[in-house]
Amino acid sequence: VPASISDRAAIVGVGATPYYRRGQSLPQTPLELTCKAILAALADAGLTADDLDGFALYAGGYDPAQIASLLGVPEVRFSATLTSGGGGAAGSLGLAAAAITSGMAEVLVSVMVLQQAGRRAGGSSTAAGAPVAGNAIYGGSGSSPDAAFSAPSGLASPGQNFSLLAQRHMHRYGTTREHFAEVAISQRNNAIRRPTSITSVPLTLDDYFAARMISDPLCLLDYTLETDGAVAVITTSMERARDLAQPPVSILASANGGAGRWGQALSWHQMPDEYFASSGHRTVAKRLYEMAGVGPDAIDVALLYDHFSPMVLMQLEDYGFCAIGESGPFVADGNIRWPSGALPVNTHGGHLSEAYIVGMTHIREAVEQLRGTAVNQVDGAELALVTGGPASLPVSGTILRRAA
Amino acid sequence: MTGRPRGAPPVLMDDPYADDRTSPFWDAALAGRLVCARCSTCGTFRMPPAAFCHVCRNQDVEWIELPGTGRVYTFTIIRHPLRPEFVDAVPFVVAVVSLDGAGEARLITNVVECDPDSVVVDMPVRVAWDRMSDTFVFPRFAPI
Repeated sequence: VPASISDRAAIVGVGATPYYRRGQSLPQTPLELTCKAILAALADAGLTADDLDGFALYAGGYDPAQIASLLGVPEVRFSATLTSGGGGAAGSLGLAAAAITSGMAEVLVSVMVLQQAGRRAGGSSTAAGAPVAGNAIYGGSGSSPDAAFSAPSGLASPGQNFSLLAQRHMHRYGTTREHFAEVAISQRNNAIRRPTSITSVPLTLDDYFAARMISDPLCLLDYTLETDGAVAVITTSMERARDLAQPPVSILASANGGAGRWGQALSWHQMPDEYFASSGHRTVAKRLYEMAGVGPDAIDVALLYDHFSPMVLMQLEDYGFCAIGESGPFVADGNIRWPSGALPVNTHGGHLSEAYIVGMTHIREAVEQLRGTAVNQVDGAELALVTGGPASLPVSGTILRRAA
Repeated sequence: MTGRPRGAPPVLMDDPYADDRTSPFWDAALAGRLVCARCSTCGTFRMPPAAFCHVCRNQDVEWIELPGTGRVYTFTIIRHPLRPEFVDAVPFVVAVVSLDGAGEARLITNVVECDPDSVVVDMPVRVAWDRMSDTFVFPRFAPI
């Protein structure tokens, strides 16, 4: 039997700072927010920084060297980061499980911090006069001579790039803004029930269509919130997990990567027509289900990375919850609503309506669902899918299981 | 080739910062010719003119002159200015244009000389040269 990470590691602790509107986490530093989340996650598990021996990270924004020194971690045995940006969010759990399964480390933290007091994560990636490297969260757009093939168009932000995918999806499959709205409205309904949520009022279809257009066909309500905060999760071996404070949440399967020609999809838009209007997750989904030994029908709740509402639709297709091109009618039929839908999606409200911490709130919600403590609990939830990206490679997916 | 097309965004770069790999494209543009790099070995077109063919991994290219027409593959109407210099430019259309005669290669450009709300996917377009400086002419596209 080949070595596998499946069911060998578990999430045992989750911790977070409050979520803040952009810039309002000052005067705390990002390092301070990060360490607060890590200490809270360790405490949740019944552990301390004396037990911590590894970092399984993605996307940057923090420095493990500073964290380990500041918290007096006795010995760091593993410190690795999935490359690129938010696409690695769910995949960082697989990285932790790989370290644990191989014996390289025993108690790992995966963490993300975001403080947008200065630079905004979704802002322009070019400067007047001279092209610069692309947006840090979503991966770079190429070096100087190549920039002349993109920057003069004015294409400069993640939202504008994803608008191009959304427009193609609408053309190819008949998807409409009403379908985007259903994602935004259903997630808002979930968010406003949670005390952690930045938003607190429901969203109507009229509100949606009255919202300011940003990068047509995407309006303000198709975009993620801009927030600050930190979220950390602690992962350890299944054996050790059983002795800790919380019911373990097993990492059943995790995959990251994607088709090579997706690599710079959001910079160059040269990916094959077959999967241009997709989330880039199809090959990852296939490997993920194979490792898990289950299919989409077994998933009880899906926490899908939602920087932009149409990308939730494309993930529903790429993870097999509906046929390719059918996500619009799928959501229009109420399937992603909590609690009535066949597949409740982003029961925490997601980036669109709760808070944006680059994918980590989705992992937090998956753990709450599988502990049975979620505010918007899916009855009897046993398997949760959590994703990172759509973004530059790698994108990632992880299936978590309520441990028996 | 004088003046700038109506609906073209503000000039963000006044030079293509070309190297040996990209200069044939920009030199042709200065002469009003739209070209695309094609792999000398397997014939795959590539845009931008990357250092390797993503199909056969060879490096040599031929520069093929194109008819200058194409279709809007996808587009977005940018209505919110991300930067001060865009305040007076919005709304404008950023488009990915499939280039006739260039296989699957696409160009990231703008649809100009029309009402942004009239742009649709698959719309036929033709190159409209934008002389941004003495060293940088960029291919925008206008409806046919």
